[in-house]
Amino acid sequence: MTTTTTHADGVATFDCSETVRRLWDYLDHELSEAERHAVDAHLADCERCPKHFAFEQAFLAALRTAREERGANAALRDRVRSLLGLGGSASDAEHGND
Amino acid sequence: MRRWLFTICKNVFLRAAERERDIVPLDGDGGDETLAVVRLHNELVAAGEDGMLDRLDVGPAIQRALQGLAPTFRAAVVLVDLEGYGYGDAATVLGIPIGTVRSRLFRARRLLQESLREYARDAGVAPLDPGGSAHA
Repeated sequence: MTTTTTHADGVATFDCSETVRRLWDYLDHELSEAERHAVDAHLADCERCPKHFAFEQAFLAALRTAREERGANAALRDRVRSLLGLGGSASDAEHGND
Repeated sequence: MRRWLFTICKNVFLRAAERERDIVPLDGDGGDETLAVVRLHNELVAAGEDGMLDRLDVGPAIQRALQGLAPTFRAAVVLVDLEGYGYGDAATVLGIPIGTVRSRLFRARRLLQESLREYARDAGVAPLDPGGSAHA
């Protein structure tokens, strides 16, 4: 069951549980505009949820760091292939083997 | 190019899934997962471990944590978090409904955080400020 409240100013907001349920969708920009506004409204009022969201945001940033390192490794692999005169990229090689 | 990448990713993940077959069943409505993610965050705060990401060499930590995930969960994280796919594209690659991507991602990220906590403890990353305010 979704628990939403509509403030006097007409802005809908979720409770803590509904907000946390949408935590990742919110941080991944996968929510509808109405849901995003409801989460924003809750975060503006709640003392605890923003701290939780900040932690999860830092976690996603750490994962992105891993993504960047992964990209760097792919570039390095391609450079090594190039230096070895193998031509193409590591991804091209994988394509050829599929 | 994009379709080719989709096919490669899907084949890799399907092969990995066939090899390991350690699929963890998902919760029905996600309510348990919501509680679990709140509980984990509360535990991290109470133990002063919520700042662990600032004190860890996160690259190796995340690689090790990813290896510990079941293939179905790892696939969701790799596609969305490491390769930058949206939920819809990840669902297309994996051939599953978008809601399943969402629920797998929800659990996978929590499992990753639990694994990172273990990694931080193994690495001797001590809590800096135990006893912070937890989310009830």
